[in-house]
Amino acid sequence: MGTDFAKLGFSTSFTVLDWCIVIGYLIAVVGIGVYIRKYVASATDFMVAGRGLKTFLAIATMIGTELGLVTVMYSSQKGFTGGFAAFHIAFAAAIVTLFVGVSGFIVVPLRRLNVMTIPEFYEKRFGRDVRILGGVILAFSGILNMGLFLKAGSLFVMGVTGMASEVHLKIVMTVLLCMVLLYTTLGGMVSVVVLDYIQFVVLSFGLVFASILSIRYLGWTNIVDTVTMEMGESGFNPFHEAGFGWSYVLWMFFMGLVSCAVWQTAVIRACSAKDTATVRKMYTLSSVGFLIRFLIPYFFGICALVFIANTPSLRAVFLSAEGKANPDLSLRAMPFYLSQILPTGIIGIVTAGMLAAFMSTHDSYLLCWSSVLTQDVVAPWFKKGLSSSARMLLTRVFIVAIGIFILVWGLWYPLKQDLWDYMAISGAIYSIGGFTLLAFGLYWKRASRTGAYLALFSGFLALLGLSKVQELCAPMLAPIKSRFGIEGDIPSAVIGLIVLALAIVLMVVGSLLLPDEKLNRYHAEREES
Amino acid sequence: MDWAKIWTFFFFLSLSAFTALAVIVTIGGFFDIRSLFRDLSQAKEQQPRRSE
Repeated sequence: MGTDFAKLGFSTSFTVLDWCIVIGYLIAVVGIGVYIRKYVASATDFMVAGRGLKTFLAIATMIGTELGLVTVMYSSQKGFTGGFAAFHIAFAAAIVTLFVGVSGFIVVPLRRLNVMTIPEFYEKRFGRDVRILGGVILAFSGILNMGLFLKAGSLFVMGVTGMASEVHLKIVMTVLLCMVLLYTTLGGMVSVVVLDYIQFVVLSFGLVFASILSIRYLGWTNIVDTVTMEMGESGFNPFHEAGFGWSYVLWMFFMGLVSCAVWQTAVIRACSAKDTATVRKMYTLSSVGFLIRFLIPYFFGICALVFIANTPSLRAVFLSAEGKANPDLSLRAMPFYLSQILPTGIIGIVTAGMLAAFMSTHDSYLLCWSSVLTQDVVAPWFKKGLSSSARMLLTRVFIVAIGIFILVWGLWYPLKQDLWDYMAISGAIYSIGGFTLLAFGLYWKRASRTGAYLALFSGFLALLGLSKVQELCAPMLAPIKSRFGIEGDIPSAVIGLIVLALAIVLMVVGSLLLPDEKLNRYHAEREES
Repeated sequence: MDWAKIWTFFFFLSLSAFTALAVIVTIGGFFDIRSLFRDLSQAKEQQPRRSE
């Protein structure tokens, strides 16, 4: 795993001073998180911070969660492999988030219904069984999606600190995970939002500073010229077939919508907001955050490419004769680049911010998926319901269980594609069905339980987008590949779009053929309001 | 279409907008946290009274 760059003459600027900054910062952050537990009195405080988030804090926590170390890692990898053309993903995310903020699409009616999780809406709209199934699929997809977070985080630490020993690194990552588990299980959402805020402040200014430093170090003209030389037109034009292509761009617009309006970790922020006006403001202003969380890391990835392409000894390690890098190496390019250009002290602050971001994403995701398992999978089985303290205890147990799973999965799963594509497709198992149920359930009266079941199950076909699954299903996929002249893997974007179209068709056909017999409680409530 | 110029303009515009947003959210968020703690403390104080 570890290429020792010190042997190539590239030592990191990360020193003892930086370690002190990182450790001091992390201890302070965890201490604050644990201290805040005194404000938690009920399950609502624990899961949605008493629904008391005002606009600025809501924006900070939304961006803080989504601008995690993992986002920075997979985005910089996309910038490294896709060049400036990858900027279209940031553009799509911003446009779609702005649209959601202005129109209130999906998130405003959800907030109005006072639900804590999306499957809770499934129950109100389609019944209890759909809620349980939706909860299982959502948690499965979400936990699988965060399965490689730890690996991405570990590669960042390796790249920045110059560590080459895998054993030391696993110890560091396990310690980090334990710290996250400690304050998330104790403080719940109140700790999460406050720590998200701190992380937002440190990381936002750190990223802007590192961007300015990169431009000064490499020169803008040099950056553009090197990308032109390495990638040609496909390094800039997102529609160029040698690069991303139309289907990928279209898939990214859908993923942008999913990230902000369908993905539970973002939606839980809308559910935690004070009122629907706050939800709209939060999404409108967060569109800049959703843009930048991709854009700056893409830029770092591009800078890493420029730095490596112009250094022959590094070029030989990172880039093959065709100019392509394998996924593990392309993930390491950005942290290695930062370790070379950031001065001592500053690299400590940026790393502390990144590790806080790593923890912040973990805490939000852990809380989110454990809340879904508690609220939507276990609680509905109890006719009298679960007490507030039982829910909190169960959520904490799930947090620890998921933490153990991601530790094991992150170290075991072999990544054979860009991390972003892995995440997009593992998330799609839920988000394709989730989007269909939300959009049709909220805006089409005739959407029925049968249509909902069919749409939810169809999401599993998105698994075909994973390289490992395509390898396992090679004999089955061979005729399709030869029919359409596809060499190598079928692009995950194409699979995602086909499955999305299928889910929509199944929802419409299922609802028309087998409609629900009577108006359920959801319609009655909506009509009353 | 000159994509290099488009992305250059797009990048610097976005960076400026985000810097402005970061300053505003940092200041506004600080006051929101104070207000959140105040609300939660009040709710916690009222909880035993309600149960009485």
